Amino acid sequence: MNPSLFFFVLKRHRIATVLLFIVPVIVGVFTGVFFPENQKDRELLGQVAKMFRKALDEEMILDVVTPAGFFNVAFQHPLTILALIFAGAIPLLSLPAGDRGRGTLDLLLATPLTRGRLLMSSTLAGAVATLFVGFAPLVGVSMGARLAGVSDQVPLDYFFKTSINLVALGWWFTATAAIVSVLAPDGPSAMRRFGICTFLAFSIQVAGQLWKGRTWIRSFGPFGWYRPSLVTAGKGSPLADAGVLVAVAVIFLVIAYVAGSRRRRA
Amino acid sequence: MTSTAISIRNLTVRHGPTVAVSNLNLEVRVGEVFGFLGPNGAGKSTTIRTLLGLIRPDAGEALVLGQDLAKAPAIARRRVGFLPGDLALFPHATGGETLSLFADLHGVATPDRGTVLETLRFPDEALRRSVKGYSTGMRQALGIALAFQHRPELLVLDEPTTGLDPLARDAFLALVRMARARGATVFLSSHVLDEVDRVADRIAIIAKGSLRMIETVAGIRATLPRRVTAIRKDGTEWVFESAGPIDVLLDRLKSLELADVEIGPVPLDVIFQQAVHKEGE
Repeated sequence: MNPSLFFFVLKRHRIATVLLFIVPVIVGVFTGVFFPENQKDRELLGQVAKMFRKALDEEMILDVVTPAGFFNVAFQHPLTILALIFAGAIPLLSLPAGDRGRGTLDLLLATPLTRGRLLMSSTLAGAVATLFVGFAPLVGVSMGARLAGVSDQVPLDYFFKTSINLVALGWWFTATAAIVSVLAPDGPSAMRRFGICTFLAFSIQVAGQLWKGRTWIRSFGPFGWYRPSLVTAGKGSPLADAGVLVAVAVIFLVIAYVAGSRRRRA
Repeated sequence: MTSTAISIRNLTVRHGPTVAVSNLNLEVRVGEVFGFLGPNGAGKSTTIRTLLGLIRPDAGEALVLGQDLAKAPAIARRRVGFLPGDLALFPHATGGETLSLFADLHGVATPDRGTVLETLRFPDEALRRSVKGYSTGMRQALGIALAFQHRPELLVLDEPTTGLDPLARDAFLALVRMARARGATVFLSSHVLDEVDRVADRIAIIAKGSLRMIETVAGIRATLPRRVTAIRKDGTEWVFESAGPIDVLLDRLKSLELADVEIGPVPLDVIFQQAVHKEGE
């Protein structure tokens, strides 16, 4: 890793990272704003959620009756997930793929910087951005719970573990972006390929949910290892799930490193 | 210490089915300014990228200061300053940030930064502005500063004067002369034959990936005829080339009724065209 390049990449994407941080915070705050204070309202909402049980696996159903379950929404909201995915992917898709397309990669690699160090610097910048955005829902939920006046009923320790799981999910996508970026000829091409990877990851999850009796399919995608509903229900093990995601991310990074080293052209 | 700054042996590089560089052999001595000429698509940039380890060759080797930069420890690149042909910079970074980033990446001091910027008349305030607001000439000047700032032993410059105005071009040539004076080697790839003519000790001409000529500039001049432009009193102009002793030429010119005469060397572009189009191509 090269510290100068690492900080340069972080600085380069600081605005995008801050904007992506704000998104889950807003989701968390809005969850608090819309928290139904009345128990009966929440139970009614719970009945609506139960209607999805035929289509979805039970463990994926949100518990919207308890404050803990209700605030879990912030951790599963599509905007939160998308913000997390892009926080780590943007620096990686920009360097090396984007700079390869622009021509700045040649300039960087004509210095004593190796391809491996360049990739590690970019990956670390992506990982830090993911870490930052991964804890944004926790910030949002804390603020939202305070707004709703249920701070004492929201288990922030559970949500802290869920945040770690969320960060690991983001790192899975960061590492995927590293492989894509190493192989792609330029930024737009890397973005398209990364879009396909993300779509496949979502598809695996949807297939695992809709295909009754085939829930194990989800294990092949990253979302199969991110189950916040189970955490708040006291069943899941977010740290173990995070461990699986991080292990796969490390394997992906090794693949990216080897693929980058073997490239004939920078 | 090696006396060869660049050594290219039997280098072949293919881009898919196209042979970009074919069995190229070239040596550049330490301390010389070496002009590397060729038309578009001749293989100049591919050769340079191979030299810097940015492309792996299909055959042969390219050594820089005695090392293959694709295999040598990356630290060997500290000794090299590079200006790419199609220079691209980070648009959102300021000029100062760009210079500092590359100084940090080289991991060495930048003793020549001030001199280079001053010679190129690069305004101080521009260093605080983002590069996206720069003119083409300013971007190129910043690129030149990136290559020169850490006082490298070898400068590899691909089309360095693109976008520079005549004053900046002269300033650049002054920097090249200063680099040579301190013992650095300059590998200068250019389309602008006039500037190569002004600073190069030797030139190589490459076309379709193959070396067509390698010679000292003085040596080329010695083997080529003079270009004579004679203007008769009736105003007609007569241009011809003359080889052999100058006395014979002058005697011949005396016998003509001339209003004016100009005797000069054959321009480098004529040599260039002859070399590129030789063998009936």
